[in-house]
Amino acid sequence: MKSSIIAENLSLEYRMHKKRRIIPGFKRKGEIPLPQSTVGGDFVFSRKQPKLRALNDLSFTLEPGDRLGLIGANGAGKSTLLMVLAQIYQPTAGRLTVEGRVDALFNIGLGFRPEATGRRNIVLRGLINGWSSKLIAERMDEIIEFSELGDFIDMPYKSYSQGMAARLAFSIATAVTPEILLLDEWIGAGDTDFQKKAKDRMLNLVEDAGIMVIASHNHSLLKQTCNRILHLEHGRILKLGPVDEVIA
Amino acid sequence: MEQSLNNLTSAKEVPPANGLATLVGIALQDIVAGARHYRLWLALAKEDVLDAYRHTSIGVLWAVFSFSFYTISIVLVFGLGASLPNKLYIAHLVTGLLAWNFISPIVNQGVTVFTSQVSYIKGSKLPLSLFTYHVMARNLMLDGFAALGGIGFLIWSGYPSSWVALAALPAIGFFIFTAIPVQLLLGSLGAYTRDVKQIIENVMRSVFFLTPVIWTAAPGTHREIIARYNPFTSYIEIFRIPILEGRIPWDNWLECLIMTGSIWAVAVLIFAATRRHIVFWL
Repeated sequence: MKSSIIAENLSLEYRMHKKRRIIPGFKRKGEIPLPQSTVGGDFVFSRKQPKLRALNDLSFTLEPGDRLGLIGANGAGKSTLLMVLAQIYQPTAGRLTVEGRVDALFNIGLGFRPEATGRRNIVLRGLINGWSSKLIAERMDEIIEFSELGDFIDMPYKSYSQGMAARLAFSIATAVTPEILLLDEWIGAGDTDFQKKAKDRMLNLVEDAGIMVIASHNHSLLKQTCNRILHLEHGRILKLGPVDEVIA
Repeated sequence: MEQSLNNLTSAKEVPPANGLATLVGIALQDIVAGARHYRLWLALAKEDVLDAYRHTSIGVLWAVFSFSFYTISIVLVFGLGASLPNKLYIAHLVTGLLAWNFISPIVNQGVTVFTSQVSYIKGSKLPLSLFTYHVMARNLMLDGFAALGGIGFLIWSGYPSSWVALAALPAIGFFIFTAIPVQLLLGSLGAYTRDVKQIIENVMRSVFFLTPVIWTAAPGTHREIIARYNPFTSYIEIFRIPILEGRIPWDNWLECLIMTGSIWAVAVLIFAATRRHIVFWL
């Protein structure tokens, strides 16, 4: 199947800290002042409630082979956009059309259980990713080998150092090439040797994946892996174009 | 498996879903997709049970011990001197406790079924209903171990006395079937406002005493009236009466079917309306 992502005028708004209570509190009289901030999305009034417009009118199309890098200041909407693309957040306005199987790697440690062995955690994480038992069994040895954990794989996950845990997480997360891959700033697993290996694998994965979207502050990494860059500012598109034009 | 995931997660598009029919359709898809992830929620439930008793000397036997000790304590205080023969009281208590030990945690944990899974909900595309199956399976397993102790008490008391006792098994299936919408409903409301957790905890603590678990609803007493108007009574009775009396309580079954049917209807509607908002409420 050909993968594609079409975003048309995507916007996402949510209410800020509105208390949802069964017994209503006293209503504040007068105008509620609109919050101000130099980072984050725009604050807007909607039905007299201040709302945060985290994404504002985003339109773009990604085709097979596209690797989009998301850049922007803290709170510009990079992660929020990834979560909308993963269909975890539903946009408030606009249309999103996604063709292909989406794999989202936002939280590298997701679902790891401290008391279970590394091997058992591979099974659990595989099930979370929606792999079949057959696929998990097939990839098991390769994952263990790539992580270089050796006999640690049969010890509880809580006995691992942070770097070892990251190795395991990375090895599982990149064991199956997805059609659409969404990444949120998470390279840097393990020691220097492993990082080199991880980077090579990332580049391979990126080549094989139909579409990739990666949010990062690491411009040199994005230059290596991406062909297009989307620069977000306050939830809006500041620049969208080929990698060389957007990041100098 | 792969297919079911695709159905839900790489839907062709995210429409500005507003029509009730569309929303209900998506909610039902979520509920079906959650069930199809049975290997995941069974694995998660198993890990929870293992974690609870890991590094203990007798492992899950603690669940058996705990249930037995609790039962004996209640028998000593309320059973001796009750109007019922001791053996009948023990059977009444054990069946009541086993049913209650599943019902009560489902209601209490149902409220936090979504709010306690923030990292999964924000970090993966798993169907939300998956977490209700997970909680259901975990409590079923824990109650299953307690039942090992319970069956010992029953046999010692001379129950069950008839093959009709097997009619308690469909009741267990019905508990499972009811546990899902109860959690979808309470979980959605509990995510919307944290008041729900406080209310349910308080109410459930009292409901235990208002339900004929440790006492019997002797005809003609005020207890009979309490039991009759308590909706939890019927759920306990469909499990208990086949074992104790060797008959199927059709009237209780009818009440349960009506209640569970209504819970399903309301739960699907509420879940349909709240599903896409829940992630923002966490």
